[in-house]
This record gives sequence, structure tokens and C-alpha cells, in this order.
Amino acid sequence: MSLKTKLRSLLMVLAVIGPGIIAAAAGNDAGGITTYSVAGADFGYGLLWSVIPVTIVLIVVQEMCTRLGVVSGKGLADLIRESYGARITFYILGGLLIANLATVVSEFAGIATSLEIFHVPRFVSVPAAAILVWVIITQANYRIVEKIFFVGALLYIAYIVSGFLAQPEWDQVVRHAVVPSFEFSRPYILLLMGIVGTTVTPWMQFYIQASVVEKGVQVKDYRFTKIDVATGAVTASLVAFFIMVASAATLFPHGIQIESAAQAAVALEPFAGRFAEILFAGGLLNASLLGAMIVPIATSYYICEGLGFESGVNKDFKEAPVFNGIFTVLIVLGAIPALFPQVPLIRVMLGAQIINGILLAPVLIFIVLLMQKEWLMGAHRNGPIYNLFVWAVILLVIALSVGVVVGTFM
Amino acid sequence: MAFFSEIFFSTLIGKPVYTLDDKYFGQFRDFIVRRKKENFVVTKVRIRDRNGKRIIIPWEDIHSIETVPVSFRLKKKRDEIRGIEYAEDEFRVKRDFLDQQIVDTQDHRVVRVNDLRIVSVGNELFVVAADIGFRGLMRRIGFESLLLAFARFFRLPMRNKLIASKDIDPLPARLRHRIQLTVGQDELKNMHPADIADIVEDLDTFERLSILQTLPTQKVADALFELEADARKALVKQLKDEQLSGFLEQMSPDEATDIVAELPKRRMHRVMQIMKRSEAEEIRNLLKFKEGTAGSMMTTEFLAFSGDTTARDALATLRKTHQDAEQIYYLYIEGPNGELTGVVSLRELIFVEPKTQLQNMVKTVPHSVELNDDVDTVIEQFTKYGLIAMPVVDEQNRIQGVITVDDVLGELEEEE
Repeated sequence: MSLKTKLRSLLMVLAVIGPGIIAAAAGNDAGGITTYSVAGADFGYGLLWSVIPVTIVLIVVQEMCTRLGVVSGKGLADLIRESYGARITFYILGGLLIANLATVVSEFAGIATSLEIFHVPRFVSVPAAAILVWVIITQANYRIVEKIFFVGALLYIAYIVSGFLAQPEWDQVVRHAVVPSFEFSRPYILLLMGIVGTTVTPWMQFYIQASVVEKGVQVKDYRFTKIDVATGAVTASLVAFFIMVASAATLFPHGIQIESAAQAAVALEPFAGRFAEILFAGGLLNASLLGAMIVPIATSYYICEGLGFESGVNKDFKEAPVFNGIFTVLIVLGAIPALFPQVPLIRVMLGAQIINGILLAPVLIFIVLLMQKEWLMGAHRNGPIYNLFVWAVILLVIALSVGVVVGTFM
Repeated sequence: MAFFSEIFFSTLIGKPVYTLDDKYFGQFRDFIVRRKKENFVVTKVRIRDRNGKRIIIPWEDIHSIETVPVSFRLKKKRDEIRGIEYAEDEFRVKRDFLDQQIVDTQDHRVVRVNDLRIVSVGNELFVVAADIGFRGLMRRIGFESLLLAFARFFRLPMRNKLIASKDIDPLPARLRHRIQLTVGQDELKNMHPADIADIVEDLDTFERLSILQTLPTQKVADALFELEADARKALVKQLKDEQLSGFLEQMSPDEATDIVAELPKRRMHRVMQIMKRSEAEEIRNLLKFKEGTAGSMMTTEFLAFSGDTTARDALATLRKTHQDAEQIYYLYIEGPNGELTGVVSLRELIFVEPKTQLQNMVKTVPHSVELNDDVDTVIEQFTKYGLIAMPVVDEQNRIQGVITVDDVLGELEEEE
């Protein structure tokens, strides 16, 4: 390859890149960071091995969604509506609306608790964040919004640094990362399922597919999207990995129990220093803000798309009442509970995870079924062997997410 | 024959079908329809038989449709029923309309169909309208009565939002990989390019390409220019070089230049090579001018006459070449070296003696702008003098092109 063609393909990568990295990063939101911190604090390095298989699962699922988007030029809600009818689409989207409301609540809670570490009171930080999010969504155009998301995704590096500051025993870390260990206890299995559930979420599949469609990625450039998806999944998993390492190296040996990511940040300080605490809290703030921006707008988009309401960020309330109404209500209802520290956030997050767990099965099954349709995918269908592999992965994920639901109620 | 007078299609799906001797035959799945004047007429019926096999029978085989409860009755016994195929120009209501997106040719937008209204006239069934409203959606989900009770309580009107069949153009998604879509024949062809652009912006990439392929090149060229910048860029990216150059040739040079200027260098080169030499040359000339100058706004297709041309000759030239010139309201007069010496309006030209020479009609030196004047200057001049068109000259006062008022309007819109 000549230098010029190399340069050209590098430019192409940059033009197509974004959706995969942003979607995967947004998966590490307030709920995700909490799960990883708790995993590290409760089981040390014991759950580190799960990161590699989870990465593979994430790549498989996201790759299919982006392929679906690039080849069909349509969003996931569109395709489900067109192939499986109004009723089922309505229930899936209704479920997602509720699950996403719970997710938005946890994002604003993340904003509130992380800024409290910097001595900003909730009644200042939460309304300010809500207004900021609303203004960015309504005023900025998609290109700018995507750039903001992208920078947000890069800021996750804070967690990698704090992982190093925690001074883990590296030989242990490496060993546990590659050698699976297993513990037959209820909390262990629930956390393992939680890690999968917080990484592969239903709304993320809608989001990633919508953003490749919005970006207008073409079939001939699809290979670059694959790079985007893989890079996103790997970096997101790396972040998850270092969050677990940080809390495993510091909190686990001292038997410190935590319930939230903000607690983890505070608990980190005596062992890894003030700087690590700031990085950890800053990372949580960034993740929560990113989630608080992406989740409401994505929810609005796919509900309007699937049910046939007018949508688009550049349309006002009169032109697109449902679209503007949904994300506004999500932001307002999401922000209010975060004002009150008494609200049991861990339960809200758990609730979100349960609904997500229930919804994930039909969403994933629809994705695979759509991928097999000749009229839709043409030559880009899943091959028979890959399809077998995909079904295996998806059934595994479904089993795990159903496990979370059943396990919580038992 | 006994049929309902009108019914919603969704209430028929999955309902039982009985043979003439009242034996259960299968489940109703779909109607096959064909365009008939303003409506779609049902020609065939798709049924899933007891063994799960799909069978299509002609509409004439249906004896009746009962409404309470909904069921179908055939005119034949089981062993007399023969399956048939449907033709290429026919649509399937459930597959191609229900839950799909259609083009609303009345309001120039793409909408999603929640339900379809079916009416029986004589022995025939017609799809007369698509329901795109919230009530239709609730009916599909099974909450219509709940919604109506709710609406009554609050005294809200809850009407069905319908689009008449004559204003519907289907976009059959399932056929996209196999055949060319035949969407939007006559309706779209008669639409204004700006309205076509509105519709195209709502479509996904496949539908965009196929809809454009059914329209005459000139129409597409005009619509292409009317598209929003983002949608246009995306669409241009997908066109083949040959297609794009074909469209560019149909545009006026200044419009074509706007599009060419956005292309990557290599593609620009390729596209220009396929174009007619003369057209490409004009674009190349215009490309030299910086964005936002008078030079980049002007078209090079204009009429200039020498001063000794008679009114009769000028009119004759106008008749011959009116299609190439972007505007014919002003005739510019140039001296021996191409310098701009005067302007004559079409009105003046019509009302003088045919033998009069143009130079004798000139009253004022025309207002003009220079190639490098910026957009704001151009806008200012247009509004100040209330002109429809203005010539663009170089440093030696030689006329290089003409800016028309629609170019200025476009700039004004962008500035807002």
C-alpha cells in the first residue's frame, strides 16, 4: 500500500468511526461503573476473567446491529415494526421507555454523588446538569453532539489511570484475567450476570444501529465500521477491567463493602491517594453525563421511529410533540429523584437491570431473525456456521439475563 | 353476496375461512390488490390452510364476509379450490402497506401506516385510505376502546387520521433487493422538485435511489438541488459517476458547480470527464471562484447581444435559445471587446419598432457586480434596485455571467 492509499483509508476510518466507540462507552454508565466497582470490592480479582468473554459477546452483538443498519439503511425499531407488527413493537418500546427512565434516574444520581465529592450540593448540580443536557440535545446539531459524545468517551481514560494508581499486584491481575475461576455462591453469580447485563443492553442496540444509519455509512465502507465496533468494545472492556482492578486492589483486601460508585471513589482515597479519588469521581461524572445525554434522546428516537411519530432534534414542540415530549419528560423525571438522597438508588438500578434483562431476549432474537432475512440483508446475511455461533452466544446472554431476573426475585 | 360496508383491514387478519359446505379451511392472511384509478381493488386473497401452507385464491372465489364475528366464506368446496400466483404489478396489503412507510403525495412526506380502511362497492372490495393516526395505532395494539372511553371522558375528539388511496404511494420494502421499485409514477412526476426533495429527505438510502430512478432526469436534477445540504451530500455519495454527471448536465452551471465543489478531488475529476465537454468547461470556470463571491453564484448561461442587433433579431434569438438561458427578462449589450455597455428589458423589446437597434434603446448603464464581490454586496445590490437578475463583470467590465434572484434567495435562506 502506498502512503497515499494508507492515508486515505485512515481518513475513511475516521469518517466512519464513532458509533461503535460511543455506544460501547455509554454502556459503562453509572450503573456499569457501580457494578464493576462492587465486583472488585466484593470478589477481588475473582471476576476479572469475565471481561474477555463479555468483550467477545459485545462485539458479536454490536457487529450485527451495525451491519443491519448499514445494509438496510433503517433503524432497529423500524425493522421490528415492519417485520413483526405494531403490537409487539409497542410492548418492546414501552418496556424500553420504563427501563430507560430508571437508567436516566441512575445517571442523574451518578452526577449528583460524583459532584458531591467535589463539594457541589445536589440541588445545584442536578438541575444544572438537567438544563445542560436539555440544551445540548435541542440546540446542537448531530455532528456536534457526536463530537461531544466522542470526547466524553475518551475521558474514560481517567479510570485506567486510577487503576494504575491503585498499585495492584500485576502478576495476580494477569493470571486472573486469563484463567477463569468460578465460585458457586449467589452473590457471585448475580454479579457475573450483572456484568453481562450492564454491558449488553437493549437500548444500546437501538442506539448503535440508529447512529450508523444517521451517519450514512455505506456497505463498501462497512469494514471500517467493524473496526469501530471492535475498538469500542475493547476500550470499553479495558475501562471496566481497570475499574475492577482499582477497587479489587484497594477495597477488597480491607473488606470494605460499597453500594455505589461514588462510595468506591471515596473509599479509594486512603489507599490510592486523593488524585485517584478525583479521577474516579471525575470518571463517574463523565460517564453519567454521557449517559444522561444519550439515553433520553435515543429513547425518543426509536419510540417515534417505531410508532410513526414525527421525530428529529431540529423540530420544535409543535412539529414533533411526542419526540420532544419524551426526552424532556425523561430528563425531568430522571432528575427529580436524584435530588433526594433518601431515594434508594441501588434499587432503581436493580429495577432498570431487571427490565433490561427481560427485554434483552426478544430484542436479541429479533436482531438474529432479521439478520437471516434474504429480502432484507441479501448477500450480507449471517452464514450458517456464524449463525450457529451467534445463536449460541445469544442464548447464553439470554440465559444470564433471565438468571438475573429470576435470581433477584428468589 | 354479503359484505360489510366498511371495515379496518387489521380486524380481518387471522380470521377463519370456511368452505361452501361450512368446513373450516384456514386463516385469512392478506389481500392482494391492484391500483384501480383512485383506489386499490382486491384481486386475490391469501390464506393459510390447516396444514400451515399459504395459498392464494382469486377474489371471485369469496362468497361472503361476515362481520359478527368476522369470518370468510368461500364459494367452493375444499377439493375445488386451486391456488394461483399474483402478478408483478400487484401489492400485498399486509406486507407492503400495513406497518410500512408510504409516501403521502398530498402532504409530501413519508408516513407509517397503522391500518387500512376497506370499503365494499358492489361485488368488489377497495382499499380506500391508510390510517396513520394514534387511534389506528391503539386499535392495532388492542386499546382502541380504552382510548375512546378516555377521550369521551375528557371530551377530546378522537378521529381517525386517514390518507386517501389516491394520495398513497407504497414503498414495498421486501422487493428492494430483487426488482426496481415502481413507486411514485404519475403523482411524483407532476410534483414540484422542492416537494419531491421533501419526500426524498424522509426516505432511507435504498428508497431514495429507487425513487429517483423512476423519475425523469430533469426532475431528479432539480430535486437534487433542492435537497438540504446533508441529505444531498449523502445521496450524491451513493450515485454512480455516470448518473451524477447525467444529473449535473441537466442543472444550470452554477447549481452544478455547487454540487461538484463538494465532491472529493478524485471523484470530481472522474465525474467531469464523463460530462459533456462544454458543460464540464463551464463548471471548471466557475470552480475557480471562491465560495461566497459573486463569481461562485453566477451562471454562465446568458444572452448578450452586440449593440447593432435589431429588436426583431434579438427576439428571434430569444425564441431559439430560451431554454438554455436562465433568464430572458434582461438582454445585456456588449461592446466590441465584450464590455458591458447597456441593458434592455424584455418589456421594452416587445413594444419597440422591430427595426430599432438595441443600442438606441439603452437608457441607463446597468447595475452590475464584480466577480470577487462578496455575497453581502450582491444581496445589497439586488434589494436596493429590486432586480430579477444582475450581470457579473470582470475588472475590464466584460460580462462573465448572470446572477438571478433565486440564487440570492438561496443565499438569504442559508444566512438565516
